Amino acid sequence: MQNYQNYLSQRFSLSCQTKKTNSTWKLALVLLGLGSIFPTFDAPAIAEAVQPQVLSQLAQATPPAKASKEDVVVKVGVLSKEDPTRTIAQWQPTMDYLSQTIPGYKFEIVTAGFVEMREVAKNNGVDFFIVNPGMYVEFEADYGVNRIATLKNLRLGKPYTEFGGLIITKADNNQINQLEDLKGKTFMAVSPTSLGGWYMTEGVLYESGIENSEKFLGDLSFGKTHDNVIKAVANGEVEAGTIRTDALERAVQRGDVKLEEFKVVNPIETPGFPFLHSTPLYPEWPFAAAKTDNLELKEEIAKALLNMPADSAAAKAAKSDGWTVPLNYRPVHDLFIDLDVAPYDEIGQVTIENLIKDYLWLWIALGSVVVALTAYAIYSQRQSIIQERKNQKSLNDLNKSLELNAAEQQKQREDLENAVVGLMEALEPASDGDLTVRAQLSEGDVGIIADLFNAIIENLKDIAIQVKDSAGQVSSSLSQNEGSVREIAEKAISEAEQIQAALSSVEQMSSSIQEVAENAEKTAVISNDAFVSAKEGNTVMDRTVDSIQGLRTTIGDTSKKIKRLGESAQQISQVVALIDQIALKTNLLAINASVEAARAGELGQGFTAVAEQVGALAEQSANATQEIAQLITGIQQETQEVVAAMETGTSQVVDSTRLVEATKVSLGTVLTKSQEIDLLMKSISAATISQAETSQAVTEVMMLNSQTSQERSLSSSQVAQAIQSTTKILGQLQDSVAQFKVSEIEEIEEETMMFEAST
Amino acid sequence: MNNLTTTDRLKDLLPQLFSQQQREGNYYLRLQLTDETIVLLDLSYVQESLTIDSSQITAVPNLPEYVVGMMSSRNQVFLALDLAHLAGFAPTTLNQRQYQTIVVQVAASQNSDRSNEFNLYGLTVKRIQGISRILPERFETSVTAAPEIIRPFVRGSIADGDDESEVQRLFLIDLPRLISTKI
Repeated sequence: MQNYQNYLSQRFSLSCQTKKTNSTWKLALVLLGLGSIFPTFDAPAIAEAVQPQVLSQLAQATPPAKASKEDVVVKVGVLSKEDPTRTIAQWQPTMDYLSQTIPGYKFEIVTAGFVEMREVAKNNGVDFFIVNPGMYVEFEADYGVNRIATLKNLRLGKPYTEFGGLIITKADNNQINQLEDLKGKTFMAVSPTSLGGWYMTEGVLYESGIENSEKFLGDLSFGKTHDNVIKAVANGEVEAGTIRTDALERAVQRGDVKLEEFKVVNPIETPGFPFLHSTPLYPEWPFAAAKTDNLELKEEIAKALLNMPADSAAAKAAKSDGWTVPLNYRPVHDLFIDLDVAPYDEIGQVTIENLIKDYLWLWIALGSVVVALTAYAIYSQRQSIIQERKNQKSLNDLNKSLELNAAEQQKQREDLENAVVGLMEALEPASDGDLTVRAQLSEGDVGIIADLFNAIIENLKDIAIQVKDSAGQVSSSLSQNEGSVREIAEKAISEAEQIQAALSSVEQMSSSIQEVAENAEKTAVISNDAFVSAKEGNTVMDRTVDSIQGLRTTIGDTSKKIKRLGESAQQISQVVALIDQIALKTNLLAINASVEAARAGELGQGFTAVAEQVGALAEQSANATQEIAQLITGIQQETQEVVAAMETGTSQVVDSTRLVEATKVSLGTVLTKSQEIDLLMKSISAATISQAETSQAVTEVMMLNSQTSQERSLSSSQVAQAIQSTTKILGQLQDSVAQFKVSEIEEIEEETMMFEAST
Repeated sequence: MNNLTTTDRLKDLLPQLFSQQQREGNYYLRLQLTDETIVLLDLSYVQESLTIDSSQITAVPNLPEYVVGMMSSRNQVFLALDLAHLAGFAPTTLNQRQYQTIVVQVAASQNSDRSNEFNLYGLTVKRIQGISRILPERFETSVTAAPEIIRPFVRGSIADGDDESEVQRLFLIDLPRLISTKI
């Protein structure tokens, strides 16, 4: 017992530290066992007694979350598969990001390999983990670690939240082509507890029917890091190896190896997943929280991780696209269950020894339950036998009294039956409608019933008579109403037709108004054109007036010049007259000289000749001046003609100016008139539009009217139908009332006749 | 031309003046009697030709209509006659501002006793045309071409100008006979 209690407390503390769910059912079993052994004990009391202990231990197990608000150091354990410095370089920016984003906390990185990380987790050395999914599943089971985000791994520029395992061999190895070919070959995995680096491959082998992969493989060694495995395969140290997806691609990218050197065993194609892989895909690394009650911090971290931008330094350093909501790690659990690895190592390897050792307390509990149940069964059996005997006795007493009562009741019932039969016979005709019958009154309850029946039949008779009367009246009034309603319906129909006719004429009116509106609009456009042309004409006229005015001034100038020319000709003719005078005088002098010379006789001969010459010259001059005078006269005449023509031209110009002015004035009138026409047309257009609208409204009203009258006709016909059906119902009512017989047979027949006539 | 002297220019313009060529014939004065009729008058009768203002002619009453008035020249006073009117045409020099006048000297009478006496007359004409030198033999004696009014006083006629188409005939007037007949 002491041993068991020790074990129990140990188990409690363990379960409290690791997983609460597991402990609950175990605890319940224990309590059940205890309850069975000590039935007088109140089970809930024990539970209450145990619960605080559990809670206190829980509280003890929880690490003190935060002592002060200022820069609480939060340690984050990061699984380092390879070089720790590279791991730090990869994850330190994420720590910085978290420290920066969540004020009051300082996030520190703690790198550890596969083995060290378990130690760290066991000792509660860190508050959060960034580990591979396999380790996470183990920690979740063993230490209550809980995922808060899943890494979006960035490969080839795209984020992936899943990864798998890759089995590689040298490209020139012809012996290994399938999984079966791995039998007896030297094989290297990353670590016995690496998910991508061993468990996934083991899972694939398990799926293909190889349960003990370590025996299946000839020589299984572990290279600790992915790079070591890749190198070992490349160097030929081992014939094949397994690594996680994209480890090979990363090594190729770094230039350590070439992709052509390797061959993939059991290649699988998954749509949307570009990397080489030989195993199914499992969710990526989670960001997990150690068991803690600081939910606030967990939420903050989850928020910060989900909000981490894809282009942040942290995301870039982690070669990720940030973090996403935590994925389902069920496939990893399933894998671990298949492979019987921690935390599911207990499930697979069931031996009798283990069974006894591990579940000793359970056996004890079960035994006590069986004993308790047996004891209770015996006790309750005895109690029930005693009770049964008591019951038997009382039942016998009851039977006797019941038999006596039955005989009395038989007699009473027969009497009652006789009275009721009499009453029923008396009242039988009433059920066929004969309301003249009356029940015979007698003593007792049946007599009271007969009296009541008589009263009821009397009342029924009165009602039947009244109903007959009213039905007759209703029938006659209904037949009158029906006629008038029919008339109303016919009138409504004719009204509807009239309205329809009116509607069509209104529609025609509306369409003609529409046409008028269109024509008015066209006319408005034309008058507008006319307005524009008149405007243009006006400007052209203005220009014409200007040029005519210019012509007038030009002509005036020209005529002035011509007049001056005439004056000059006048002056010339005066000069010419003077020359003529001089020529005449010269001629006379020459004659005189000749006369004088002739008197002088022989001596004057030479002089006479000279005088003769001078005279000839004078004569020529005179002739020339005469010609000039004639020419000048001609010029003067022509000048005068030109002047006259000019004056005529000027007067014509004046006339045309006046004409142009008049034209301009009339054009202006045209302009204003066309403007007025335009305005009028516009107003006509507007008026017709409003008219059209009005006619539209009228049409609508008419339509409504038509609809209403149609409805009215419909409803009046409905009313007529209703009246008809009412009449029918009334007939039925009269029929049913006629079934009642109320002693005055003539009246009933009369009314029936009337009813038939009316229908 | 500028180098030339006035004499050179005269020689250039009027070469006839400097030709010493002897020309023959008598001198006759050409007078325009009416618009159509031109007559010749022997220069030997002519004393002088002049233009005279109408103010210098004194109208004399009671004298025949062809008498324009009294005029004076070279200290002589004589009658001014309208030649055309005198010859029998319509008066041609009526009421002019200036008169073209020739002063002629005609023997007083045909009679021998008064052969040394000469009368001066001023003859106003429409126009004095100039002097022509004509050989007496060239005159044709036929006077049929002359207007009938002056035919009695025409001694001969001659075609004027070289151009045959323009037949303007000049008629030689016998002045003493005209004056003695009419006055």
